[in-house]
Amino acid sequence: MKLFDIYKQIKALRFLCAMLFALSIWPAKPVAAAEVIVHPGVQDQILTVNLARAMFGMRQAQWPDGTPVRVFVMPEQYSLHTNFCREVLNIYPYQLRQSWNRLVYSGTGQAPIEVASEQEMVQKVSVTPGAIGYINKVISNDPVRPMSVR
Amino acid sequence: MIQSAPCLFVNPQLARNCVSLFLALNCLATAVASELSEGVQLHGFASQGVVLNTQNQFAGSTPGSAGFDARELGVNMSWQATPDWLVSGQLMSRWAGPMDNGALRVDYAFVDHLLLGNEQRNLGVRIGKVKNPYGFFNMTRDVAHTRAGITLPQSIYQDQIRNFFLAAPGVSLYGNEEYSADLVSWQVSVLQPEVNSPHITAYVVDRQAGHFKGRTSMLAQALWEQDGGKWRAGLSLGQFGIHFNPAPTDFFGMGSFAGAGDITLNTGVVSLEHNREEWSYTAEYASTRQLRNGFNVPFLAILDKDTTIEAYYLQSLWRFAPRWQALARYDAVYLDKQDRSGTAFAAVTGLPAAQRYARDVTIGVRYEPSHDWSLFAEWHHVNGGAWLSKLENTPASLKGSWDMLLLQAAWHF
Repeated sequence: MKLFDIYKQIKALRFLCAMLFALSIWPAKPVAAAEVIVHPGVQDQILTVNLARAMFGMRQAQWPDGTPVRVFVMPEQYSLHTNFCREVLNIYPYQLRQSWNRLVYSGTGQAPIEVASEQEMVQKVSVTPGAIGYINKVISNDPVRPMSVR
Repeated sequence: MIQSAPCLFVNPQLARNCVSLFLALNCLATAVASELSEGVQLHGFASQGVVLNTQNQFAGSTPGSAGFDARELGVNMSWQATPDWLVSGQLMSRWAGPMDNGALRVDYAFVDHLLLGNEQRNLGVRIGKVKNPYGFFNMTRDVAHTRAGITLPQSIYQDQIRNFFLAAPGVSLYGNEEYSADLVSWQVSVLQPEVNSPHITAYVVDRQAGHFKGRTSMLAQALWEQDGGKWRAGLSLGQFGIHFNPAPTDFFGMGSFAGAGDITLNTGVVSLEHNREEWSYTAEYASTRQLRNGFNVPFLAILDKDTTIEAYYLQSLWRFAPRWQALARYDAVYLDKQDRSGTAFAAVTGLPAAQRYARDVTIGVRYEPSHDWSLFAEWHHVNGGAWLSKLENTPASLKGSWDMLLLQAAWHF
């Protein structure tokens, strides 16, 4: 009887392990892309992933021509922000937040400017020289320029 | 105002002050959004903790009754005048039972000048009171949102000697090097440690009357990040010097038994972290060689004994659901690597062996109801009392095995 109980427990444990494994390999749901946008006055045409990480990580203070970089982001709970981190920067949103916190609370850097919507993102990036941000998809009459990140 | 409610039981005046401060900070945070004006930012944090202990005392708690005297408040301002000039400062106040009384102090205040900045490389200098880069977490140790749990691993980030390691006036040279998928950042500082605190005196010379003065010290750190931080590794090396000035003997012959001693701490931390989507694993190992001389107390020869402090922890974090995080950690410190059990120490001094080691098993959970709030709960099972303050725990009352439940609400903007 006792042996049977142990057998049942092992079976239950195996089932639990199998479930956990299944969950861990469950395909992530397809995500919408995000596009990096910059102020129309920015000269650069292409950013490397590394430079984009440095800019959104608030480590790169200026563009090659000396214009200050002004970084705009969406709140972390927005899927656009999550998609941007994963698809464009290839990092997890919590890592970006940790980097900002390290800078802000040690005084060694500043946080990016948070906007509440894509409309506000486009508006702020279009009027701020040196601005960089991201939206879902740039459309032809947007007053901002898309920036390719490779 | 979740976090200020518990103070009502402690001190109504303090509670009122806390409530008004939190309200003011809340209004301020809402008003400033993220920037006061172009390049000027204001940020801050507040936390309130509850401590429940079975034995011993930590941050003002007494066994069997909850302690509400664990609180952190801070506000900082930074001004990025141009891409290569940054001025920043932070004021903070912290309560931790007899270990910290809430006195307002300048946490850091410095000018940062970028000497060279391009896509591959940054090189700059910081002058003023700068936070000490020591291990992964020292620079932001008082900000709850930057910690994995309520307490940092006390083996390496001991709260009782925090003021010594936290920040110091000096000059720092720093830089970043960007490689194809890697980032190397470093800082080298020459500093004057701030050590005049009763906790450090208690910790270092066992309550002898007198005060410490920092000698010119060095601290260097290099951090490497691979692929945006999937792997992070660090090495921190420091040499800290402090000098003890004993209190003069008074009319009744009272004063310090100790002579004008010197302590040099040669310390190093190796840090490693692996970050995955749901899991983060962190491990740090610290070794600190204490070189002591000149105290000359016949019945406390241990004050002039060179020892090596060994400390390490292993930690894993699991983001098991959106807004939720679980923590598991094993944390150990031995004040004398040659006498881990403290028995030799106990035989020589008659003091409890448990003063010389601490092994802490921690499990915790964190919930973020919104991006600016965090609620924490964690349980510690500890063997030893090496990181407990001697100001709270007399040798006679120190218990070797004890448990602690901590709760904390934290807010930041």
